[in-house]
Amino acid sequence: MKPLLDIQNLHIAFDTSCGKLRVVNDISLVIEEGQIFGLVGESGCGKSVTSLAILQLIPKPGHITHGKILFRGDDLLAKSQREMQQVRGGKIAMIFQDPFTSLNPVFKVGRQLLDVIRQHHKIDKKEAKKRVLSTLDSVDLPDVERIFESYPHELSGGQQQRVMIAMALISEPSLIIADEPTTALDVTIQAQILRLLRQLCDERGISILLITHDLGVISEVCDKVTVLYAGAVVETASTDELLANPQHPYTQGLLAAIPQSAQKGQALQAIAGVVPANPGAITGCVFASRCPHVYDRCEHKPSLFTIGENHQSACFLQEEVTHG
Amino acid sequence: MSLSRLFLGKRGEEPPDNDFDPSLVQRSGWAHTLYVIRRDVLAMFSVLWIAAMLISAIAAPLLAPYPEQGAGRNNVDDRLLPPSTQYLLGTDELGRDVLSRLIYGARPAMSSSLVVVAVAVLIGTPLGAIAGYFGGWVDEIIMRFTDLFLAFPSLLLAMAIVALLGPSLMNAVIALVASWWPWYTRLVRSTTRSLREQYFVEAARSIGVSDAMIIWRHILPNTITPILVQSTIDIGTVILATTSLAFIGLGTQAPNADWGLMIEGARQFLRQAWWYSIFPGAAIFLTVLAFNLLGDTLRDIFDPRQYR
Amino acid sequence: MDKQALVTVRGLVKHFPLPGGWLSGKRRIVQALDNINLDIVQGEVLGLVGESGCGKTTLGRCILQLIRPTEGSVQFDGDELTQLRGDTLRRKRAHMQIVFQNPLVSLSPRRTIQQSLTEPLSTHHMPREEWMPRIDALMQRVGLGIQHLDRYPHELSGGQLQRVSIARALLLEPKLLVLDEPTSALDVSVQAQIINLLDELRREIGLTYLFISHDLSVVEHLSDRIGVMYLGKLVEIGNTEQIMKQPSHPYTKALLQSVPRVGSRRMHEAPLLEGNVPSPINPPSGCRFHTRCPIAEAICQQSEPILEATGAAQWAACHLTIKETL
Ligand SMILES: Nc1ncnc2c1ncn2[C@@H]1O[C@H](COP(=O)(O)OP(=O)(O)OP(=O)(O)O)[C@@H](O)[C@H]1O
Ligand SMILES: Nc1ncnc2c1ncn2[C@@H]1O[C@H](COP(=O)(O)OP(=O)(O)OP(=O)(O)O)[C@@H](O)[C@H]1O
Ligand SMILES: [Mg+2]
Ligand SMILES: [Mg+2]
Repeated sequence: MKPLLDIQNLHIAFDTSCGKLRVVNDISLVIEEGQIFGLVGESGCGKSVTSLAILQLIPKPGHITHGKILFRGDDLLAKSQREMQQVRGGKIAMIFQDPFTSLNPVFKVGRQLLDVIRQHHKIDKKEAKKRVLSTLDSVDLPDVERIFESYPHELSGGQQQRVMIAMALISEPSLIIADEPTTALDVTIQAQILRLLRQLCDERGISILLITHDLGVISEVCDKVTVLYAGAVVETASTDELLANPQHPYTQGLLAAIPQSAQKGQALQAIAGVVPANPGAITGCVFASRCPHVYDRCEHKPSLFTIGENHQSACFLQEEVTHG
Repeated sequence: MSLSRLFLGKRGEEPPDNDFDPSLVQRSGWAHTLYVIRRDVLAMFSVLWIAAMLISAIAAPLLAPYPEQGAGRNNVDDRLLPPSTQYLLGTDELGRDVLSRLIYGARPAMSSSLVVVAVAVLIGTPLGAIAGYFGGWVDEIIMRFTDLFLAFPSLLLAMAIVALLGPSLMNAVIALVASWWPWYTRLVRSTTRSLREQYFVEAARSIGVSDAMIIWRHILPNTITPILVQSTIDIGTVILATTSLAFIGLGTQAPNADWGLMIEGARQFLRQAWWYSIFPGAAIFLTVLAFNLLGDTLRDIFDPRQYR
Repeated sequence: MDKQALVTVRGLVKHFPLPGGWLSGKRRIVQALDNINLDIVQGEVLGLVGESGCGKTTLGRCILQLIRPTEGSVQFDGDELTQLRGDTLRRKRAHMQIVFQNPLVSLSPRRTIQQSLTEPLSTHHMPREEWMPRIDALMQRVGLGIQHLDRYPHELSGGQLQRVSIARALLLEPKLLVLDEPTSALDVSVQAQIINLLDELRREIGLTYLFISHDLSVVEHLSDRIGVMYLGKLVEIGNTEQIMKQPSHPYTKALLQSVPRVGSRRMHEAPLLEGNVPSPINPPSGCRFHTRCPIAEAICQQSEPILEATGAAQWAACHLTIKETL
C-alpha cells in the first residue's frame, strides 16, 4: 500500500513564560490509504498537537520547530495558510471530541453543512442541499429533513457527532482526523459511532487517524497503532501484533494495567511514578524514569528499531534481541 | 481586551528562549503577578504612579516645596504666577504653590478612596457571601435591600446624604460608602454562588464542616482575587467621585487642598492661568487611569487561571 | 440476605425542578432517581454502572444526604438519615465519606494539603495531639510523604491528589466510602495504582464501598456485586460474576457489548442498541428502556416492571426476562 500521510521527525514546542516547552520530540508515522490508524497515549503526551500540526492549526505560542508532513508526497508544512485552507475540510477533514462546541449554536445544522459544501465546490443551492441530505443519510441519521432544519442544541450528543462526521464527509476527504470523537459520548452511542467510522473506512476507502486514550477503542476498530509517551513514539505495529506481542516496556505496562476479568482479586500491574514534566529536556529514553528494565544504555535516546514486519519499538532491549 | 493591550501593540518583551523550567511554574501567585507587571510597560507605570501618589499623601509635609502653602496659608504677593524655577507648576489665585497644593491634595484623594473602598468591602463581602451561600429567602431579603441602594444613581445618593449631614470630607466618605457597598455584595454573591457548586465545598460539607466554617475557610479566600480586581478599579472611580463632590462644594472644604477644589477655584482663571487648572486635572486623570490599568492587568492575570 | 446491611435504601426518589416554566403553569422536573431500592451489605463493594446522566452520582449524594431525596428512606447503620438534621447529621458524617471524580477541584485551591487533612479532625473534635500521627500514618499508607503536606493542590499530580482525597476520607475511620468515579480523571497507568490502593485498603480495614463508575472493567475488578442503572432506575443488580457472564436485563446485555475491550473486535457487527437515551424530563412510560429495547413487547409500554429474582443472587426489572425464567 502506498502512504497517504507521512510525518517525518516532527518537533513541536510552546513558548511559555517559563521557557520553551518541547511537547513533541521527533515523532514519525505513516498512514496508508484505506486504514484506521490509531494514535494512543496518556493525557498530555502530544496526540492533539500532533494532529493539529497536520493542518497547521497549532494554537499560538506553539509552533513546529522541525519536521516534514507529506500528504501524497506534498509537503503540507511548505504550504501557505491560504493553500492550507483548501486542504482543511477538503482532502483532510477533522472531527473533535466535543461535538457541541464544534457546531455553531446560532445556525441551523443544514445551513452550516451548506456553507461547507459551497466553500469547496461551485454548485447551485438545490444541488448542494441534495448532497447535504444524502450525506446526512449516509451517517445513519434518521429523518434527515428534520435534522437539516434543527439547531445543534435540539440534537442529542450522538446525533451531533454524526452531523460533524457528515460535515467531514461532505467534501469527500481522503483522510479524516478524529480527535477523541467518542470520549464525550455514552458507551452505547460510542459503539454506534465507532461502527460508523469502521464502515466509512471499509466501504469508501477513507483513511482515519483516530486519536484516543482508550486501548479498548484501538482494539475494536484500528488497523495500525502508534503508542506515544511524553511526546515521543515508543511503539508502532498492526493492532493485532501490538496487543498480542507488545514489545516496549511502556506498552506492556499499559496493557497490564487494564483490569481483565481473569485476574479478579489480584492486584493490577501499575506503572510506578509519573509522566515527566518537560520531556524535551530528557536526553535519554523518556520512559527511563518509570521503566522496570532500565539499564545503562537508557541514558541515550533509542531510535525506532524494526522488530518484525510492521512492528517497531523504541527500546534498546529490542535492538539487542533483534541484533543478537 | 484590556485597556493596556490597546495602548501597547506588543506586550512587554519576548518570552525567554531558555528551556522550560518546571520550578518556575510552582511560583506563588504573587511572584507571577509581579513578573507579569514587570513585563508590561503600562502596568509598571500604573504601579509607579500609584506608589508616587501614596508617598505624596503620606509624606506631603516633607515633599512639598512650600508645606505651609500646601496646608492652606495664603501668599497673596505671588498671585497666579506662571511656572518658574521658584514655583515649578505656578501659583493659584491666593499665591499658593500649585505643586505643593497638588501634593497635599493627594491626601484626601488617596485616604478617602481607600477608606470608602475598604469599608464598602467590609460591609458588602459578608452580606454577599451569606446571600450567595444560603440562597432562598436569606438571599431574597439581602438582595432586595441592596437593590434599594442601587436604585439611586450613586452620585445623586451621595449628594443627598451630604446635603443632609452637611458638607465635609467625612460626610462625603459616608455618603460614598452608602452607594458603593451594594456592588461588592453583588460581586461576592455571584462568586459565592459559583463556588458553592464546586466539589471542594461539597467535600467540606461531606466531612461535616459547619456552614459558617465553610464560608470562612473555603468561600471567602476564593473571593479575594475578584474583590481585589474590582476594588483596584473602584479606587479610581471613588477618587473621581470625591473630587467631584469637592468641586460642587460637598466634599473637602477650603482652605484644605483637594484636586476637585483646585479645579473649582481655577474655573474663573482658565484663560489667565492655564497651569492652575491643567495640573490638578492631569493629577485626577492619571491617578484614575492608573488604578483602571492596574485593575485590568490584575483581571487579566487572575481571571483565566482561577481554577486551572 | 445473611449478612447485615449497612445501608438500606427504600423507595428513593429525587426530582430536580428546572428553572423557568412557570409561565406555562407547569413546572418541568428532572426525574433523576425513581423508586430505588437497594442494600449495601457490611464489608462489600457494590459497583454502580450506567451511562452518563442515569443518576449514579445523584444516588450517591442522596445516600449521604448531601442533597435531600424527594421521597423515600435511607437507613445507615440503624439510623434513618433522612430524618436527621443539623448537628446530629454532621456528627454522623464521620462514618460515611465520599471521594469525587476530579481530585483537583475537590480540594480547596487555597489551602495546603495539611490544612485540608486537618479539617476533618478539627471538625470532629479529635484531640490535637492525635492529628499529626494520624495524618502521617495515612499519608504513608496511601504512598505519599510528609514533604507533600505543605504543598497546594495545583502543585501535585492527579494521582497524588486522588491519594490525598482518599486519605482525607479515611482519616475519620468511616464505615462507608462512596467513590464517585475516583479514577476516571486519571491516566491508565495511574488508574491502576489507585485501584490497587482502594482494593488493599478495604481488605485491611474492612471498609464498605459504593463504587460508582462507567468503566465496566474497573467495576468488575473491584466489586462483589453490581447494580446497573438506566434513566433513574435500577434495572438490574446481582453478583458480579453472574451479571458479567449472564446478564438478564436487555440493557445490561447491550451495555456489556458496547464497552470497548482490549482484545475484541466487534465493530463490524451491528450494535445492539439503536437510537438515543431519552430525556429524564419526560421519561418513557412503562419500562423506561422500551424505546430502545430490541425485544420490547406491548406490555413494556404500559406497565412498569419491578425488580424480581432472575437467578440465585440476581434481580432484574424486565417483564420479558422474568417470563422467560419462570
Ligand atoms: N497552548 C498551550 N500552551 C502551552 N502548552 C500547551 C498548550 N497546548 C498544549 N500544551 C502542552 O502540550 C502537551 C501536549 O498537549 P496535547 O493537547 O497534544 O495532549 P493530548 O495528548 O491531546 O492530551 P489529552 O489526552 O489530554 O487530550 C501538553 O503537555 C500540554 O501541556
Ligand atoms: N443539581 C441538579 N439540578 C438539576 N438537574 C440535575 C442536578 N444534578 C443532576 N441533575 C440531573 O439528574 C440526572 C442524573 O444526574 P447524575 O449526575 O446523577 O448522573 P450520573 O449517572 O452521575 O452521570 P455521569 O456519569 O455523567 O456522572 C441528569 O439528568 C442530570 O442532568
Ligand atoms: Mg487531546
Ligand atoms: Mg456522575
